[in-house]
Amino acid sequence: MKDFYSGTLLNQLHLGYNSAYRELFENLQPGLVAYANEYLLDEEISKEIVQEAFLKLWENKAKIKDDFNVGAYLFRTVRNFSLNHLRHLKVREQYKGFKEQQFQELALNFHALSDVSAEKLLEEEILQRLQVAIEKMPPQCKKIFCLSRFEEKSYKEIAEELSISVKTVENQINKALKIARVELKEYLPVSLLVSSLFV
Amino acid sequence: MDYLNDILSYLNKELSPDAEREFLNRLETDEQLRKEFYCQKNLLAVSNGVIDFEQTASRSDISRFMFRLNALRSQEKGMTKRNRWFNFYRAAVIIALPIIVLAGLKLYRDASHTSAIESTVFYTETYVPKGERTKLLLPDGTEVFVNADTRVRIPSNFSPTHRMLWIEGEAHFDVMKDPEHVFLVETPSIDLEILGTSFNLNCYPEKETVETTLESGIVRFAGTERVTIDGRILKPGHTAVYNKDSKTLEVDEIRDNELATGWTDGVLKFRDVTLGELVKKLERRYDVTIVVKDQALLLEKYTGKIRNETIQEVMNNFALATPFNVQYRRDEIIVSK
Repeated sequence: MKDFYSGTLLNQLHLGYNSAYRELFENLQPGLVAYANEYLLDEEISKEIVQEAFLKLWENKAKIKDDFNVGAYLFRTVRNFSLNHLRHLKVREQYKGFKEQQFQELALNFHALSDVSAEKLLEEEILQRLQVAIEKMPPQCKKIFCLSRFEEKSYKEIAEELSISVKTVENQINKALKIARVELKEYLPVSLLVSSLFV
Repeated sequence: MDYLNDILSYLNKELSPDAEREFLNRLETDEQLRKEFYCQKNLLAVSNGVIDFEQTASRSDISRFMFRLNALRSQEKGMTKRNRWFNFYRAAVIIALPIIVLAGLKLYRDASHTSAIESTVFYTETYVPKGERTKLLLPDGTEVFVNADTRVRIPSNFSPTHRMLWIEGEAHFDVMKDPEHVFLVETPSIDLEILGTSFNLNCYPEKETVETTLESGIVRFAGTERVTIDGRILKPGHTAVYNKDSKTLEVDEIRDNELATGWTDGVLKFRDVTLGELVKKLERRYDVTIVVKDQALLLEKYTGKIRNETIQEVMNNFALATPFNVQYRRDEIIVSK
C-alpha cells in the first residue's frame, strides 16, 4: 500500500478523473480485500465490499481536500460495510445453512471488528505508524508474512518453499505481529499492553 | 498470565479441535482475554491490509470497478432509467444489423451479493469469418471495422457512458471522443483505455505480439495482472508492440502505418514478412487453407502489396520470387519445393 498520495492525485480524485480512481483501485484494492477477508472469510464478498467502498469515495469526492487521507478513509469505509454485512448475516444464516463452527467464527469476528481497537487502529496516525513498523521488519519475517497473506499458503507450504521448519514460520509470523504491537504501544489501550511488554 | 501466545496460536489455527474449543470457552468467560483477542485480531487484519507487497488488483476486478464507476457517473448526471433502456435497445438494433454469426450468448452471472447497480450482463458475440470484413456501429457513435477471423464481444449494458468491448483478432477503431467516459478495449492479453481516437489493433491469437497503431488521439495501456505497463501513452503515428511472452511493451516510431491499416482499404501490404506469417494473413483474407510442405520455405521473406489479385495470382507471384510448386486442391493449397 502506498501511503502518501501526492496533491496531484488527490486533486484528480477530487475532480473525479477515471485514471486517478483506476490507479488508486489498482494499488489499494488487494490490501483492502485482505483486510475485509480477515473478518468475512469470503473473498468474493470482500471484493464486493471493497468495490462499494471505492464507489463511495467517488460519491464523496467533493470532500477530498489536500489533507485527506484516502487510505484511512477507504479502510474505515470497508470496516463499516463489513460490520453491516456481518450484522445482517445473523438473519440470513438460517437460510444459508452455515456450519455451527463457521458461524461462531464469524460472530467472533463481528465482535472483534465492533471493538474500539478496530476503530483505533484505523486512525490516520496509527495506520502510518503501522506501515512504518512493517517496513522495519526483517526481510525474512516480512516475506513469510506476505506469503501467508497473498498466496494463501499454509504454514506447511511456506516452510517447504523456504526450506525452514513450520515452527520457524509460526515464530516469524508471531514476531511480525509483536513488532507491530511494540511499535503501536503508545496508541493502544494500556490494559492491553501488559502482556505484550513481557513477551 | 501470557494470553498472547494462546491468542496467536488460535489465530494461526494451530490449536487442536479440543484446545480450540477450550480457548473459545475461555473467551466467553474471561473478559480480559476477550479484549486482548479482539485487539490482536484487529492488528493482524490491519497489518494484512497495509503491508506493502507489490501486488495490484486483477484485471477483471479493475474492469468491473471502472464499469460501475461509469454507471454511477451517468446516474449522477440524472440520466433516467428510460433513457438507459432506450440506449440498450438502440445498441441491440444497431449491433444486430451487421452481425454475421451470432456465435454465442454467454450468460454472465454477476457474483455480487450486495450490488444494486449491476444485475445480469449479457455478452453478444460477433464473429467475422475468414474472407470477410464488417463494420460495427456502436450506440456511442464509435465505428469498429472488424477484419476477418475476429471475435468481438459487446456487453448488453453498453451505452455512451459505459463503453467497453472485448476483441480477439484485428479491427480498426474510430472511437467517439468523450473525455469523461473512457472506452475500454479488452484483449486476451492487455487492455487499452481510449478517450477519442482512431487506431488499429491486431491481437490474433497465434501472434506473439499485440500491435496497436495510432492514427490520432490518445491510447493508454492499462496493463494486466502482474504486468506493469500501466500508464504508457502512445503518440499518433507510432505503433506499440506488446510481447505476450516477455510481457514488455515497446514503441516502434518509424513503422509504415499502411502496413497496419492497409486492410481497411482492401490492401494487404507487407515488408520482410516470412511466408509462415503471410500464410496466416492469406488464409484469413481469402478463406483458404494453405499447407506448406517444406519447413525451410516458411522462413522465406517477402515484401509486397496485394490489392485485387486472386489467391492464384498471389501464390504465382510468390512462386516467381522463390521457386516452389503450388497445387490447388478443392479445399486446400499445397506449397512444396
